[in-house]
This record gives sequence, structure tokens and C-alpha cells, in this order.
Amino acid sequence: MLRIEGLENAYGDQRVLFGVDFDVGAGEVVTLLGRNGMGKTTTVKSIFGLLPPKAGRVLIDGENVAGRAPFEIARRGLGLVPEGRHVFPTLTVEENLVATRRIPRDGAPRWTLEAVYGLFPRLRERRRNAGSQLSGGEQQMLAIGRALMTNPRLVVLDEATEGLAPLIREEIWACLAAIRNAGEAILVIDKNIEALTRFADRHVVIEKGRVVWSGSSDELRRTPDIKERFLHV
Amino acid sequence: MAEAAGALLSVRNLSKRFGALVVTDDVSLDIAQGELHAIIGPNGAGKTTLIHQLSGMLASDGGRVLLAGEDITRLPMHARVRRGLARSFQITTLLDGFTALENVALAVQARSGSSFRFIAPAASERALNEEGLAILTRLGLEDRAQRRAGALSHGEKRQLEIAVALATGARTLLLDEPLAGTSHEESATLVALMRSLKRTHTLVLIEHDMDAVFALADRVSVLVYGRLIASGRPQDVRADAQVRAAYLGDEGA
Amino acid sequence: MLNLFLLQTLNGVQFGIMLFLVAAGLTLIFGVMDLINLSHGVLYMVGAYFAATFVALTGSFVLGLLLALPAALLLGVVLELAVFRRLYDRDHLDQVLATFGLILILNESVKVIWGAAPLSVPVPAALSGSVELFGNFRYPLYRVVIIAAGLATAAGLYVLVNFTRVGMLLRAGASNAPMVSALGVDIRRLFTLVFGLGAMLAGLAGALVAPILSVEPGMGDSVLILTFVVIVIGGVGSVRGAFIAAILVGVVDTVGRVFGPIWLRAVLDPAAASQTGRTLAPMLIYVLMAMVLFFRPRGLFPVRGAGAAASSNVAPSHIAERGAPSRGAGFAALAIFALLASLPLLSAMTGNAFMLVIATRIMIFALAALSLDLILGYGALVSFGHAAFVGIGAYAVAILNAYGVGDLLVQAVVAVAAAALFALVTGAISLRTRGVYFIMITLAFGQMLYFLMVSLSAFGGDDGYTLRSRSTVFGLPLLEDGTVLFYVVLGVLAAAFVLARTLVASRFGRVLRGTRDNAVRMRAIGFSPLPYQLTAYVVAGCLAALAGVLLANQVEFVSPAYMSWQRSGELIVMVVLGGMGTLVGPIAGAAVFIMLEEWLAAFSQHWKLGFGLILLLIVLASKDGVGGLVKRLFTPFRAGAAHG
Repeated sequence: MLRIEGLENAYGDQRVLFGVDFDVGAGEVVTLLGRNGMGKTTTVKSIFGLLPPKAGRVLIDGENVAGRAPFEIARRGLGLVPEGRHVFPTLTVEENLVATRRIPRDGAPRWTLEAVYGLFPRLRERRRNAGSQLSGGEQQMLAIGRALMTNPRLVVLDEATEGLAPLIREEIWACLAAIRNAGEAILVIDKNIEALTRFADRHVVIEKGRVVWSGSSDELRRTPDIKERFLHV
Repeated sequence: MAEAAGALLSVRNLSKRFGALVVTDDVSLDIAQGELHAIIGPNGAGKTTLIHQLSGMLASDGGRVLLAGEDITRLPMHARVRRGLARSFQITTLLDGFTALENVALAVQARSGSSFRFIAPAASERALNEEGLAILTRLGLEDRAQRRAGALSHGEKRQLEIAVALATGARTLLLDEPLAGTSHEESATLVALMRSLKRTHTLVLIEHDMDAVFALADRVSVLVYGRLIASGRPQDVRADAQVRAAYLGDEGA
Repeated sequence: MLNLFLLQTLNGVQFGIMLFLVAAGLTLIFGVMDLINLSHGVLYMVGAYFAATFVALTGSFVLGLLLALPAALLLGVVLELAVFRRLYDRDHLDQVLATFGLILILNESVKVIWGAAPLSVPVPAALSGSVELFGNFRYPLYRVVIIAAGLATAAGLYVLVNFTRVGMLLRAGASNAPMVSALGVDIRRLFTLVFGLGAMLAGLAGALVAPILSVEPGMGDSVLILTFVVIVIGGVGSVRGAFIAAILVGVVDTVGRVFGPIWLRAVLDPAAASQTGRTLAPMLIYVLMAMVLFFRPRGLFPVRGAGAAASSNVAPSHIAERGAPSRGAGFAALAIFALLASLPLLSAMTGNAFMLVIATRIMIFALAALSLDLILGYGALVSFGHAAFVGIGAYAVAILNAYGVGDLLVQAVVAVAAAALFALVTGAISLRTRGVYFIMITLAFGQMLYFLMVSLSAFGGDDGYTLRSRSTVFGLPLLEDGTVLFYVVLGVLAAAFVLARTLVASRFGRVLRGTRDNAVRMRAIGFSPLPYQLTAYVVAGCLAALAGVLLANQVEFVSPAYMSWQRSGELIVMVVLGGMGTLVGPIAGAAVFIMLEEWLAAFSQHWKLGFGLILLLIVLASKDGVGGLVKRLFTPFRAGAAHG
């Protein structure tokens, strides 16, 4: 449903993306891998129009949306969980979920307040708390819940478990599996390669603003030098 | 953990929270004079926040910071610089409209007499320029002296960032990811520089490049979720099971 | 006595509610869109005119009001779509310039459509008379209705912001607008809605007061300043803060004006008390604002994450010259000064004496603009009260002149000392604030001085004061000769130029420029910006006071209008049009501005309409801001100078 072709972008005169190509099919889980500063977050921002691409195409269901306003892109079925979470600090948990809720035109929403609370019971407990009063893990859950409430067909998670405690990470991974099982496509960025290979269908490795490798989880496991060359820390 | 005595920079029970989010959680740390102390940890562990607190850019919610025995917890950033504690930035923070030389010379100016001088053109003060140029030369930037900082390449900007910190004359430097985004040669220059600085300076280094960290550091501290989970000699930290689980092992080291 | 106090307190509450209605929209616009909208007060005025027109048309107050509200809403939406939408991504300086232009356009359009004479709207018969509130205390019914209507609106707004989806989006947008958009909400439509709502509330305020005030052009200007005070005290972006601050300001202002003189009688004799009271009362709210900001630089209820408070006012790319003054600019200045020096000869040859008068005027304003460039162009400090210093200089001449001190040097020294003192005190408070707060607080301090002069009845108050003669130089009436005056002004301007040029290239100037470009970097190498910024602020104020001394001498007349906020806005326009951070640019900017003014004024009495349009179009047409446009004009010239 999402296809990226020749995506280029820059901050001022500093080029970051030099032609990124990949795609995500309906219901598929794809990861973007690569070290810090290689252009993963810029790719996400470019897809969502938060940093309009300098060149290339962003196709959603075959329609090029590069250069459109973020809200127009999101409305075509993309839900963003941004790096740094960016929950609305002055809104309560429930308001965070409700404010940008979107109900699909073709019938009943898959994700309702109840469904999100079912997925993250912790959020129900804290529904009256302001976004700024949440812990890091709770903020991440809220950011995921907030994206789900727009009933997207593709959830994009930028740094899904960054800076979270191991137990909370496991909880997030379990929830992402549940989201996948509900039929959502997922594009995820994270450094937790072990968890990602268990969980994802395909992987895309970005190095210095270009896609240098892509393949399935099995292929990634069979080619250990990929990890060493491009992801090694 | 080492005793405070003999430590140049002492951190005692430092904390910081953003709303309910604890980003620095009761951190205590002693850094001896002449030591290169690396702080490592996963993204979001609170390393940059800790540097912000040590440098005075962010106020702490609790705890104390001592520099050479003096409590500097409440001092603003510029006052700490004057006491010999300076920093570099993870996100390059330069005067883009100024030349590379002026960026450095201005830092020299800050410690060379009053800046309430109104007549003589600062750009032609020889003493400032010569000292500035010497520092640029040390980083291999001398042929970039007259270029606007904004027009330098990314790697050169990262080097200039360190040059400016050096030019403050501070003997304790907090370096926040100096190698991020530099080329191999630029990295090599900076690593060599940091090695040579060990003789004259006390360095606190945040860095993701583990090769550099383990090659340079006298001691390594590991920060995870705002807490120090380990601190010690590099080989000991590398062997620490908790560290491997929380950080290193995770990433396939 | 108690009844009088109650009456005045209620009047204050009623006034505060009016201010709240105007402030509510403005604070939301600041908070959500990070847009500084100077023209918001004009919407209040237009609301009053709409009410006057529709009431007269329908013969019914209620019907008129019901028509005025959608009309104001519509105007707000149209303005948002046509103008404001293009300003969200601009820096505050561009926003200030564009909305300043919009004020000129709308104020002048009102004069064209409705005439300059005040209109009056009758109080509806059903609401005239007074009611007994408690005991034998009676209060005009119409004012009770205003208070009730205002409170109802405030309650409605409270519900809207706190309990509706739109309110959630507003609050979400105030902390992170791009995120709201990335979640699929059309943030632009939300902005248009907020703008329309804000315009309607301001219009409602104007319409409600139409029966108790006279409806006239410019009535929005004074309200705008008070609204700024309210927003700054309350905290930019906070509707609750605006409400509390509005009531506070309304009551303090109203009660202070009536009871200030009465309370002062306890310490002064009655005549002095009433004079002092009348002089000081209008300044009370500014003192209140200064006190609040001194302790809470972001107001009583700071809104977390409101970009308006933190962001820089001037995008660095808009500064025409970012290094020390270039040689090219120096040559340009030499050429300009040489041309000016030969002007008296040219004037004598062509027999055009008026040329000299205009040139003198241009140079005086060039001096004021040059001084502003020191802090605006080299400090990125958008001071909207710079004309106050010009006024200080002018009034120093007038007051000393009246007391028989006619010597130019003595006057200049007193003027500079007074300006330095005022700059030191107001600068120390203003420079603690950032972003739009700084713009608004300097504006408010300027207005404070303006009202002080208006209340100086010994010097003509509002009408101004005519000097007995021009100043003397060592006892000689040299300045009576226009050519001598011309050369004195030229000399002062040239000296100021050399001084400023030396200053910005010095150690001090380098720190100032560095702080302008990146304050964090300066702190990180050991500089505390405040002392340097404050020094520049004082120096700029002193130079502007000299311009005031010369201005008073040229026109032999002083008036509070010299220090009005419109004048401050004009000075900013001169600096920006000429090229910020160049020193020579503002001289050219002053020349262009004053000649344009003369030229347009010759066409029509409504020349400000044309001027506002030109200003607005320039800002809208230049994608990277007026500064960027000027910078592009400068670049080939500088490159040429560098190669030559």
C-alpha cells in the first residue's frame, strides 16, 4: 500500500537522503534499520510531509502524495508514532486519544477507546492524568494508542522502544504483535534487532541516506555480516 | 565508587524530571583530574540531559555538582565556563554567520580581559586571532579559518564545535557525541586530539562509537533510564553482565 | 464613598470584560499559531462600526448586533485566508510589519467608508436606565448587560476550550501543531476557525461598547495596547490568564484613575494630589505589568510549549549583514554623506528651499532608525517602543526651553541622561523576557510614556506644545538658519554613524552580534548576554533621544504623537526596508519612507491606505521575509564591493 521511490531530502544544505526506495504491502510488517544519523527518522518525516521531500515519490495505493500537507497524507490511512512520542502534554490521556480520532468512512472503526484501553489497560487507569504526567513507557503506549485511534491501515513507529525498560519493551512488542494480528501493516524503526527479526516480515537497511540491503527475517539471520557492516555498534 | 577527595568534578545524587518522567535518577559520579571518563548508554538514557545539568544549561531538581570542591549547582552556564567547565553540543551550535576563526577567537575573547571595549575592531586583535588560529591548526582547520561556519561541511562543523570548547580555556570539557556524523579521517583527527588532551584536560565524553570509547576512556560509566548501572575501568564495564544485558549485549557486541 | 468605590469597581470589571473579549482571541492566536497580530484591535473597531451601521439600518439594537457578529466573523475569516495564512511560517518581525500595514489599511478604510467623524449608537430603550443592585446602590442597566454578556461569553469559551473536541485540538495545537496535522487533522481549517472566532469576539466587544463610547477611527489602537498588557500579564496562550489579567487591568486602571488622586491627598495637598494622580494613574497598569514580568517573565499562567514565548523574533537569514560592517556599506555611507553635504548648494541653485527641510527631516529620522538598528539589526531585539526615546529627547528640549534653558548642549545632555535612565530601567525588565513578550513589553513601556506626556497638561497634553524658539548654541541663535540646522543634523548623524560602526566592530559589538546569532553558544563560551544587550539598549536610546532633540528644534513643536507606537512601527519599517544590521540601510530606509510619505500624501489625504498596502504587499511578496528581500538586493552590491 505504501511505496517509496527515489526519496531525497535535506536539512538546509545538508543532504540526508540520497534516493530511498522500498515498499510496504497491506498487512505487512517492515522494519527500517540502520545506525544513528543514517536517515531513518528523516525518511519517516518525508513520508508524512513533515519535511517535504526534495525529490522522489511517496505512493499510497498508487497515488503520489509527496509534497502534500501532513494531514492529507495521514488521512489516506497512515498513523504516526513519532520519535520522542510527542504526546500532547496539556491534554489528558483520554483527550489525547479522542482529539485526533478518525472514523473510517467505510463502516465501523476497528479501534475504539475501549479497544485501545483493552490493549493498554494501564492507559485506562491513567485516563484522567495529563500527558505530561506519564512515565516514558506510558507515553509510548499513549502515542501508539493515539495513532490507532485514527484507524490507520499502516502504523509507522519511529523508535518504538527507545529508552524503555526491558519489561516495558516486551509489553510494547506484545502489543505490536496484537496490532499486526488485527491486520494492520506496520513500518517500524528500532534498534532491538532480535525482537524485530522475530516479529517482522521484511527488513530495509539504510546507510548514509541509501537503502543498502533489504530482505526477509530469514535472510537477515542467514547473512550475519549485514548486522556487522551496517548495524554494528 | 571513588571518594570525593581528589575528584575534580563530583556529582552527588543529581536528579531531573520532566513532568513525571525521571530523566536523571540519583546520579553520583566522581571524575578525577586528568581522567577521560566516558558515559555510554542507549538512546534516551538521559546522557545529554546529564551534560545539560553539568554544564548549567538545565537546572537540576535535586543533588549537587562540585567543581574542584566548589558547589556550582546553582551557577548559570557562563559562570561555570569561567570556572573552567565547558561543553560541546551534540547538535552543532555555532555562530553560522561568523568565520571559523571568529567563532574560536570569540571564545578566546571571553577569557581575555573585558569585552566592554568599544573602540578597537575585535576582528583585528592579533592576540585573539593568533590564539584562535593555533587552536584551529590543532584540529586541522587552519585553511578554513576565513570561511563562514555555516558554510563548512558537517564534519568540519563538528571539529569546530570542539575547537570552540577548547578555546574557552576550560580544563574540564564535557563533549557530547563529538564523533557523530564525522568521516573516518575526521574521526581519527578527533580521537587523536582527545588522546593528546588527556595530558592537559579532564574530559567527560558521551559517545556511541564504542571503538573510540574503549580506546580512549580511563573509566566508563553506563547510564540506563537515567540511572548509573555501572562505573569503572573499561574492561570491567565491558565484562559486566548487567551492562551486557541492558546495553552492549543487546546490540550484538 | 463606598458607593463610589463599588461603582468604579464595577466599571472596572465591565472594562476588564471588554478587554477580555478582545484579548481572548488574540491570546489564542498567539498561543496556537505563534502569530503576533497587531491588527486585532482594528477588528474591535470594525465591530463597533458594523454595529453602528446595522443598528441604524435595522432600527433595532438586537438585530444590529446579530448582524454585526457574523460580519466580524466573516471579516476575520477573509483576513485569515488572504493575509494571515501566509504569515504563520514567518518570523515575528515580518508578522509585525504585515499586521502594522494592515492596521493602516483598515483604519484608513474605515475613514473612507464611514468618515472621520465619530458615530454614536443609542443605548437600546429597553436597556436604558439603571437598576438597584443592593441597598440603594444603583448601576446602569446597559453596563450590567455588558458584564453579563461578557461573563456568558467567557463561560462559553471555557466550555469550548476545555470540554469540546475543537478545544482539545486547540490545546494540542498550541503545544505541537505539526503533530496534530500528522495525525490527520486539517490544522489550517482549525486556524481559520480560531481566527474567525477571535475576530467575532473582538467585534462583539466593539459592538457592545458602541452605545457607551464614541465610535471613531483609531479606537482599536488604544484597546490593542491594553490587550497586549493583559496577554502579557496573563501568559501568552492562556485564556484563563487573559480573563484574570483583564479583570485585574480593568479594575486597577479604572479605580486608580478615580481614587489615585483621592488617596494621594493623604500625602499631598489637594491641587498637587489631583495633578500627580492624573499623571500617574494611566501608568499604573504598566507598573503592574512590569512587576508581574519581573517576577514571572512568562506571565501569571505560562502555557507550556507555547512557541510564541521562546522563539527568536528575527530569523537570522533576514539580517542583511551578519559579520562586522562591510567596506561596501562604508563606501555607500560615504557616498550618501557626500551627497547630503552638497544638498544646500543644490537647494540654493534650484531655489528649492523645501528640499532642505525634507532632507533635514530625513536625517533626523535616519538617526532614530540608525539607533534602532543597533538593537534590532545587531541584537535581534524587536523593540516596539523606540519612538519613546525620540519623545524623551523632544520633551527635554520643550521642558528646558519653557524653564528658560535654551542651550542645545545642556538640552542634549539632559535628554541623553533621561533616555539612558529610562532605557536602563525598562531595558532591565524587558530584556528578561523573550519572543513576543519582548515586543509587547517594549510597546507597553512606550505607551506608558506616551500617556505620561498626554497627561502633562502644562505642556499641552494631547495637543502638544509649541516651542518659544529653537535652541541656542553658546548663547547664539544659530539654529534659526535652516542651513546651519541642516549641517548640525548632518554632523550629528555622521558622528552617530561612525560611533555605531565602531561599536559593532568592537569587542562589545562582536559579543552583541554573537548573541543575536546564537545566545546559547555565547553562554557556552562564557558570556552572559544581558549586560551587553542592556548596554546596546541604552546606547540606542541615547542616540534616539538626540534625534528627538533635533526633531523638536526643526519643527519647534513637541507632541505625544512623537512617541506613539505607530511611530515606533514606522522606525522598524525604516530599518527593515533599508536593511537590518547594516547601519547605512536605515538611513536609506528613512529617506525612502519619508519621501514615500510626502509623495503619497500629495495624492490623497488617505495616503496611509496606500502606504499600508505597499507594506503588506512587500511582506507577502517576499517569500523569505522583507529582510530576505533586502538581503538579496544587498548581496550583489556587497559581492561587487568585495571584488573591487
